[in-house]
Amino acid sequence: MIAGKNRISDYKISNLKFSRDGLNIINNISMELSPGQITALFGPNGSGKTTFLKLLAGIWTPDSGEISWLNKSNLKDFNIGYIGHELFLYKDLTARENLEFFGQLYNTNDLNKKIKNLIKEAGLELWLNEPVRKYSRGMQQKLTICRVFLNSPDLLLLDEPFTGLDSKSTNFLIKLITQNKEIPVLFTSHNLRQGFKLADNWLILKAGKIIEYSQKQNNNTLDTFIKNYNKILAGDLLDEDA
Amino acid sequence: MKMLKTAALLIKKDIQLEKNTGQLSGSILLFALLAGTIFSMAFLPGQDQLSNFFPGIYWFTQIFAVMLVLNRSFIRDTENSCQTAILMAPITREMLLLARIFANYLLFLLLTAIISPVLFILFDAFPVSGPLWLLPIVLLVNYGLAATGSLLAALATSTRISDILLPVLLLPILIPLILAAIETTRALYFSQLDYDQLFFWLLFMLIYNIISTLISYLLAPYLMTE
Amino acid sequence: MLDSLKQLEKYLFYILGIIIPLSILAVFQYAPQERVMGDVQRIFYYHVGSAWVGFFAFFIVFIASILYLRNKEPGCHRISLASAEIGVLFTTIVLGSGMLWGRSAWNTWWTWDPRLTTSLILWLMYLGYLFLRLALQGEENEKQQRLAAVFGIIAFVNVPLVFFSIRWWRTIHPVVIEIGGTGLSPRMIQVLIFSVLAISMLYLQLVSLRIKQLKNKDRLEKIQNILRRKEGMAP
Repeated sequence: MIAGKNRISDYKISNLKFSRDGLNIINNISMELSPGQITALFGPNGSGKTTFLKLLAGIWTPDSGEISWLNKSNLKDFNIGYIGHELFLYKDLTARENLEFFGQLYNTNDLNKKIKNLIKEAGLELWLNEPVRKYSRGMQQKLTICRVFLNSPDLLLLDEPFTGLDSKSTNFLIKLITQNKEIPVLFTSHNLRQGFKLADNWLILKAGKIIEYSQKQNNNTLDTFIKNYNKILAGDLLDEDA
Repeated sequence: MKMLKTAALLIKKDIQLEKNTGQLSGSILLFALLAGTIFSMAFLPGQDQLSNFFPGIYWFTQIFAVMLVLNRSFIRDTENSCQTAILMAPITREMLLLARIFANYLLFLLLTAIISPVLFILFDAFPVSGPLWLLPIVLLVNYGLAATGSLLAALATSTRISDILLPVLLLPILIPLILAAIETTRALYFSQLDYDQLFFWLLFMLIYNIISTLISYLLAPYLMTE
Repeated sequence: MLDSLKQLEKYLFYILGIIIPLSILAVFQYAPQERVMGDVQRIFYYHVGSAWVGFFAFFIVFIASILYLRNKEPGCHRISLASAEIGVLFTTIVLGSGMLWGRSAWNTWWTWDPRLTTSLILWLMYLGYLFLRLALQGEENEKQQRLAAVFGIIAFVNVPLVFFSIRWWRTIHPVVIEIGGTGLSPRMIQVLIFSVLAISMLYLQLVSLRIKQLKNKDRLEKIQNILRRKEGMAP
């Protein structure tokens, strides 16, 4: 995989706010992502994880606040790799047609070679010319992953990417994530153990705010982390957001 | 130009989708034949009456075919959030809508090319005077259909009842264009070509198309979101 | 904003209690009988007033739509919806009165008069707008408001295009009938102005009332959402 070039100097999020239908979903979040670091984002259902990632991916526009890589000037060459709950594939096109379409749309270099390599690593060679409609769910997910890594993204935003993947596919994804040491990765997960192992930093999002932020250097063990996490969730049960 | 490249990619993708599902092109051709046949039974053709009803039939057939196409052209992108994925590419929303308009424009021209000979033959209705003027007429009308149609299809396909909503919203907006289309085409069926009429309505269509494109450009950011 | 609206609406309601009876008197007593058409001509006063208000109502929809898209002004969607509804109401009156006029004056139910035909298309477009809002009710608020605003803009931009194209189309296919003023006596002009004013005030009152209703409906929904969210807060 050709490493993505570091096209912007920092990955900063400042005072992000977002509300829908009168409810505050993201409540003034400021943080920074570091190139080469993998950050795991945990949080209960409804805490705003998916919304947060969509804002960072530029799919939704925040009410206020700044996301440094989404500045118009940075946007031209900046490739965001986003995996969400949606498929992002045309079910009536074959894997090859899908990858060619998106690859060309994203101005990918050496498209054919990259398609070949990714498909091979994903183990989908025999299915390359079949419409995606015929794929199993796991295969569709693997193809979505291929699509994301096709054009060497400069930032990875992954919303529960491991949910529903078998162990082979999980390893496939982990390999792709850890392959590039120069881009920041932010992913959400419900699997505390896996997130803890894979990531360098951990965030907990609750009611639109970042409550806890720990780094590996602080020598947290998995057990203390899980304990803290549960404490935070339970402790704030009676505390309503503004 | 970026927009043309994007339009080319979209067209290629749509063609592939067509090939793999085999839906549209055959049905459109069949539709043209059916519409022409039914119309010819509804209106007993007589050469002297031709200028009165044929331009209407000609353009209505095109408009119905256009409606069918428009709905599908956006729906496939909104399924599985493919449109979101397209937007994450380095492409602005304005460019995406304009590329979509251009892709539809080419498709509509193709439709006209297929439907015209069928209708001309069924009604024995070849233009009497200035047949070459059919070309600018077709180019202008189809652009208007593409621009306004794509704009409203982008809107309608964001709802769940897009297939009925699109004609309901689009047809009143198309009325000025339809009038112009019919009047210019009619002019070609008189032995004496009324150039004043013709130029007037051609100019009108040009203005309509410019306004339509401008509005599309201005409103694109509000339409082409998730 | 809601309070001043409440005031306005109440105010207008009472004023209209006086003005409407006065206007009816004016139209049927004060205005002289027209030579050619007789009493039927009095439709004219309602026809013109409603036409003006109908057009103005859709202009308000246009402005409110732009304000929503540019500045995300809250409450614009209520103004748009209320104005569109009342606009459709008055445009229906325009069409109905136009048809009655045509029927009694020239024995035809529809005259292809440019202004009447434009009103018809206006009516169709704004019915489409209402239909769109109805279709969007299941969606989330931001999408509803955004898409409706987009169509509100497109529809109004289309109005001059429709008007001119139909006018020119009519000159090619002329029809003897054109609804319009034959000469108006001074008294007639006075009554006309008065009825236009009365109908305009009626429009304002109805729209304010409707906006009030919509605002209350929105508040109710917001409270429901908060209650639901509290329910679903368990981790």
